[in-house]
Amino acid sequence: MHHTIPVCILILIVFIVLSAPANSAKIGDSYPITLPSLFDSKKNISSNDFKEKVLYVDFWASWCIPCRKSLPQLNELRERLKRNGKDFEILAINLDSDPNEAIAFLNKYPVDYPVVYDAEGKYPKLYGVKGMPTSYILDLQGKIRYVHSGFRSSDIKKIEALVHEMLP
Amino acid sequence: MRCCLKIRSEYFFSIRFYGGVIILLSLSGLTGCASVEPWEKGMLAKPEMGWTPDPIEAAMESHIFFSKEGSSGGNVSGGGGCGCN
Repeated sequence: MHHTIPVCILILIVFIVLSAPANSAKIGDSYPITLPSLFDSKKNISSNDFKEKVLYVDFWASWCIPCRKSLPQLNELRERLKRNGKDFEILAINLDSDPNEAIAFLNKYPVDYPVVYDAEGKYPKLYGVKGMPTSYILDLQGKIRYVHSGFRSSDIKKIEALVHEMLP
Repeated sequence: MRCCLKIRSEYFFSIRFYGGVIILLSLSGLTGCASVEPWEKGMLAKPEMGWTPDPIEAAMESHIFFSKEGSSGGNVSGGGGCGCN
């Protein structure tokens, strides 16, 4: 009976160790991304290709319901900012287990920005993605300046304001 | 020697011994625990994986929960938990 408390403490410690939080990217961190294009696995796209631009890194999947709203609205935002001469780009990282599902989604909701495919889920782990969709706004130096989880239509205005703030 | 064997056999058949074995086996089972990451929920997000696979019935149940209990969402992986609905 007198062993009960130490045994409970031991079990508690095991649970705490097992449930330790995973790595999570912080504001100011820089994690360059290099992944194959969703449409051409032989072509690599890197976040370093957009270093002189504010980069919106968007983690998404075809089964993510808010992504049906976010992708078309982000595409519109990109077009609008481009028309105004703003150095802004979006890099969408698809996390579907089957890339064909992502391609079918993009046929329905087409976008003009680059879409890469992370088959092993390396980058969401590195960035500490906690829900779908999650996005990170990287500044001109490639450092994370803003983390955004989920998506509502009203978020576009906030994102636009942040991009304007970050650009000279 | 006989005395020691007696003690050992008593211990072998004791509740404490079996309790220890059960705890050890349970702890070893923890190594099989794996958390499903948010981006790995594609299969769980399929409509057939919902509590109510029939879309009309699911919509009706969702309406009942919303109107009677003031709760909504969280019944499928694709739309719950991200604060975006």
